[in-house]
Amino acid sequence: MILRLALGSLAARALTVSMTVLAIALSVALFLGVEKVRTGAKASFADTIYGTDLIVGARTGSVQLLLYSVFRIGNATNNVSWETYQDIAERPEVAWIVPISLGDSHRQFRVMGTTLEFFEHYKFRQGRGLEVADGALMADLFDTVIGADVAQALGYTVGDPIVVAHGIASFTEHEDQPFRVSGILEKTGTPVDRTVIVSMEAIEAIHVDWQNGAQVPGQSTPADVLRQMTLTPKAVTAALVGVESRLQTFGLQRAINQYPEEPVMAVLPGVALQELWAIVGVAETALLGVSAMVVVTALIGMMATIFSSLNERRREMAIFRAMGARPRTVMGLLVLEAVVTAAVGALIGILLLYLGLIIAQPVIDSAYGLWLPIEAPSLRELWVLLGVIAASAIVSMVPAIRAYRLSLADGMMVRT
Amino acid sequence: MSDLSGGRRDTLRAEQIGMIFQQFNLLPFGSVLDNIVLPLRFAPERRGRVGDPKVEARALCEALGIPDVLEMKASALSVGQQQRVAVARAMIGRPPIIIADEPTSALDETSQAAFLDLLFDQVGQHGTALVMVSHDPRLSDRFDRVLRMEDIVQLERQDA
Repeated sequence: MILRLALGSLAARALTVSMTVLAIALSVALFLGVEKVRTGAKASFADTIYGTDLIVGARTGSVQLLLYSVFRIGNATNNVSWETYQDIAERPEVAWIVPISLGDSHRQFRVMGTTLEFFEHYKFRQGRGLEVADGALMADLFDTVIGADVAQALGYTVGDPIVVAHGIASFTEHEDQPFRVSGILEKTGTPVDRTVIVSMEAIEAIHVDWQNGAQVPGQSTPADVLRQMTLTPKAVTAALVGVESRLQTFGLQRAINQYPEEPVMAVLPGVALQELWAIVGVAETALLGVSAMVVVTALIGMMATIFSSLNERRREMAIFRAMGARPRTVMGLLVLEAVVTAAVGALIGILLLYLGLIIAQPVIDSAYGLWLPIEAPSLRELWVLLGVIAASAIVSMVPAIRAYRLSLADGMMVRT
Repeated sequence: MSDLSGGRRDTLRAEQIGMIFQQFNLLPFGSVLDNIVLPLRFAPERRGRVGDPKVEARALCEALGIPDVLEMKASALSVGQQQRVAVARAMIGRPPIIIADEPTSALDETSQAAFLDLLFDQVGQHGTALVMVSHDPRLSDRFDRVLRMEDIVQLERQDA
């Protein structure tokens, strides 16, 4: 009967109570949302490159190799000679190898020379491959495939001409050999979105008339002549390698690291990604801080609403006391109400979150390349929900004790 | 009595005293039945004197002339009905003392008389002591003993 009366009391204050529930629900949804973004960002980062067993490049730091070969940040200090590349490619452990040649740029985007195998073997996010959204892969020497961000930022469509600049942030351009956009890739959320991809031969072709980093004056080989030439690359910047069997990864890595003719190295992408995350993980800590602040704000808001609801209930509590209810019972009623409110709020918050995820997931994926998985709440999230409910019980003790100390007479005089 | 602990005082109040307030103080969101049987929840002895609380509440309501309101919400009642429900709540389980704080102040003269008849009738049937506070000296004829507040105040002043 006491429970029935408590529920009746809740129902009688439906508007105020639903506001409290809504506030808690929003806070919980916000907190879980921030958590989702945090874990999603971490997962998306870790999923930038998938299915590649080794990244090979000139001897340098593993993070640096990862940065320039996968994230297109910074520059390679050295290249790997074509002969070395061939040697590695011919090793029996190697199932596939994709060369990458970097160094030129288009506007603010990097130009990457590679082979068509790149589109086949570059995977991200649990094995998803690159898809052409519009047009086709390179067929001609001067064809280029551009990432989704490049197309969007520069407003390119299939068939548009592109002039590649020599070097990065440079004023000298390969004006005499313009490229044509043959395809635009789907948004991936990886650095591929910000890359202009051309063939290895094209990289060679645009540098035929160049010596020591500058174009030989007055010399410009016509495009048709270039198409007839045999364009063998002199060097590659890095290479992505897949092994026949996972067990051979470490053996191949050791062999490459000890390659006698040239200082080259091979790194495991996963390990290098973790090292890199340890550096950029500050952002994660910041998001974690935001999460914590959201929860604290929610709890304080909840305390405020419970406090104000106490005012509404003072007379009710006084009646209970006058009927002989012990302070313990009165406190119990208040705490129970707070816990029920918080629990319902948390539940609605979860529902809001999943509803929001279902709606926003495709949008966020295509706009930011951030994949937010829809899955059951993690143990950590459940703990936080439990914490919210427990905190509501503790917080409600304050008004409950106040209710206990307010004398009967005080409560009786409050008019409803 | 002032030496008792808070908890014991609560039990004593619940067991021995039925309260009728000036503003009745029903729980507006509860049904009449819930309001009437509420004191029993905190008073095992009073609960023990009542067989079936629902039957008892219905009997009290009938005796007080409000037979059909048990399932209604307290907030839906008229003032006169609320007052009777407040009496029923005070009477249930037959506490030895009923304290009434100006229960008739909200009523006109005719209703006052009718209400007091009902109240005295019930109190008389159960042999309950009724302590009532009132501003109305005309009611004093009906009580065995009358204390005037002015007298008490003067006594206290002499003490001090």
